[in-house]
Amino acid sequence: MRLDGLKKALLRIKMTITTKRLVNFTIIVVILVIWYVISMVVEPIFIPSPVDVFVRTYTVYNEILVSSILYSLMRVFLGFLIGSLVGFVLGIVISWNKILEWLFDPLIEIVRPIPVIALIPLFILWFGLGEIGKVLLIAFGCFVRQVVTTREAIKNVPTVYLKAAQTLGATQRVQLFRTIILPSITPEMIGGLRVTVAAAFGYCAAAEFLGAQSGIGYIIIIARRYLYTFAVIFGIIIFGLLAWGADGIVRYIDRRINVWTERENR
Amino acid sequence: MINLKRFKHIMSLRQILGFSSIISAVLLWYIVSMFVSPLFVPSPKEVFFGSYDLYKEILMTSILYTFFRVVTGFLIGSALGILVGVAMSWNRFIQWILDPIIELIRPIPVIALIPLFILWIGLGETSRIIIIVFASFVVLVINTREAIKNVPGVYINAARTLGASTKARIFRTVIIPAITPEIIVGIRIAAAASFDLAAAAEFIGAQRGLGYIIISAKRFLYTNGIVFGIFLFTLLAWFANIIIRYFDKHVNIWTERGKD
Amino acid sequence: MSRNPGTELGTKIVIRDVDLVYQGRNSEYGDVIALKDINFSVYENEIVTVVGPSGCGKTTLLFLVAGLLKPTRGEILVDEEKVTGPSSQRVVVFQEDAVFAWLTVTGNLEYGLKLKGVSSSKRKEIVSHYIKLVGLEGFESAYPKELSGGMKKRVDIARCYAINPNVLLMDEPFGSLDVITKERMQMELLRIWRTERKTVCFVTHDIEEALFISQRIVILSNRPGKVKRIVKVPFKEDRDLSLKTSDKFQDLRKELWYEISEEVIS
Repeated sequence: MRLDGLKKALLRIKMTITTKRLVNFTIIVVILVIWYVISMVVEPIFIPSPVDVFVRTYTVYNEILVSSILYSLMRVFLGFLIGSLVGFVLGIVISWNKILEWLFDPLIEIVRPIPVIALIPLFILWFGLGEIGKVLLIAFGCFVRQVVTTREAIKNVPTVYLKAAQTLGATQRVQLFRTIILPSITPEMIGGLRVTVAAAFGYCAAAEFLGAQSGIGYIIIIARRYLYTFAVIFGIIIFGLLAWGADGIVRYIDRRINVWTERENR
Repeated sequence: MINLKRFKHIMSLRQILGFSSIISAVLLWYIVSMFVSPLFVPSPKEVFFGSYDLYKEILMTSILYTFFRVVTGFLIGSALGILVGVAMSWNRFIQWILDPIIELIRPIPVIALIPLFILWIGLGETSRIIIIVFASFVVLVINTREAIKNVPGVYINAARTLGASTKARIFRTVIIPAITPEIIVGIRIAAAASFDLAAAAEFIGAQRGLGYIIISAKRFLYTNGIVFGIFLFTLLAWFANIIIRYFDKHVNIWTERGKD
Repeated sequence: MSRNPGTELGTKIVIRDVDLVYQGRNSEYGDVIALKDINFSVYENEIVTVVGPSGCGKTTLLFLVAGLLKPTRGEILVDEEKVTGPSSQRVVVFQEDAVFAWLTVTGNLEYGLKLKGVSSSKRKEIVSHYIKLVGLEGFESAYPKELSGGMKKRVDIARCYAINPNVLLMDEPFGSLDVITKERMQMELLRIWRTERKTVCFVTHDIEEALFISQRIVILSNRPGKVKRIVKVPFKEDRDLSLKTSDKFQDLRKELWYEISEEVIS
């Protein structure tokens, strides 16, 4: 922000290209090194060494490791898919006309603040420790978010688009929905999807902590009981990687579908 | 469109529809509860009156405990988050160091960290509050950074040409006020997350609080208690939202709300 | 049906005894009379401009002709048929950017045609014809984000022309453009209009613009908007920008300016 800021600005421009990747990579290496050093000084219960986290976890849990990851992934994927789809459809229904909006809005506003995690014991009571309960919980969480996001996105469509479409011949509501509203809300929807995906992993973790016999959360919880901090950290890293990967997929879809949006800083 | 001009004085169509949908939902609940075993769907009456009877001594304390955890954690975490966010925009070096760390932590679902925190700090109050502090912190740091990035450059230039010469002055008089609407959004998100985390933390090992009510009710298969606890949690979250909205209106009198 | 003196063409639009009253929300606010006793006609293939101070209701009047609003009293006839709602026969070019951002230039031009069920080959023909007409060859596959303000307006005009409307309605379409582009667009509009004649109803607060492009000008008074005067513009159809500096033009402009500014003060 000052005169030598010019120099720093040039540096930043350079950094925003592939150099950023290199910097990120070096930072990760640096962190790993620091981690290793610290772990030698501190109790393994608090800071296990990176080697432990990866190698020992594998040795202790290697039969169930891959299947756990798959279980968690499946739950998140199914729950997210079901919840988002239903939420999307309902979001459209509420925005269809004023009567439907006035009818369902209060219900949505009541359901919205419910902390989804607080529902877990109820779902366990209803569905037991099986898959359905967990998938439904994740689906519910995604559903509520998606309805709200869809409703907001539809509300934010510039009115001039709708007016223009009407004067171009789109006089029926269905036409307006199909040709104007759906295409124009895609950027906002994808943004909302990223948040929902991240939340879905959170719900999955909590559900697995509280009532599961499989999955990464299950490994974490069991490991905690044995004070296997290394496995706990491993599970956390896996969750992080999966969430990051899922986010990357959504961002990729975003770039492909939304060719027409004006990008600002992405 | 039906024109019930006569009723406009009593209730608008909007309110009528709104109330009727809520009432029908409750009625539906009632009807279902008559056909299904009370283990799965207890009647609304049982849930509220039965649970109140059972829990009335610890009700106030439980609510206060949970609320206290959420509020403390959330306030500390948010304040820290905003401070660090501002610090990162202020000083390039701080940003350079913290940026990658935050990017690394960002994708991790904070709930997954609960067992780790329990391992590190134990099952006491502190670990529960620390988790909420951490989550609010992460949300608000990212939020503050984005908000500051999005301050229109023209504002800063205008301020400089009007005489704001030091960075401190620009921050204090332009940037901080300009980002308040976006910060409030971040605060909303952090508050919602805090309730989620409080529930999770209380489920895993608390002796007091709403989460404890829910979990012990589950142990005894007392569904009434479970639903009652969920209801109270939701009430708290809704109440917190009202408070935030109140602040929002007061602090952000100047923002233009987009129509339609 | 009267004839436009000096031509063989009849009336296209008849606005008869039109009022528009906005009902007050509560008993406190009362009713707002936006337009009162509007009576005039637009002849076929002429450009009529409606001018007046801000808030006098000129856009409201245009929307009434378009069918986006309904008059409280009176009726509007286009080709002797009453206007009851928006239709592609009365297409509107809005002031804001209404070009659909998610469609290419071609996609935008095809929009109204697709709604009408025009076959794919016919669409191609029509689209390429109008892209040429507005001078956007080479930009067929461009997205609006790649186009300048003036180019986007040309896409809008082409899109409206493509569906072969009865009447072209324009609501301060060049209001958001810079002065140079604005003047270019005025020339462009005249050129396009001379090539393919259409009845045009144009709204603007820019007196020079009104004098430059139209055959007749309707001056609206301040709220409640009433027709103050209808001026016949004496210039020949073949106009270029040098007209704007001619004495006659400037005299007329001053005259109109005084007339309108009395409305603003009162």
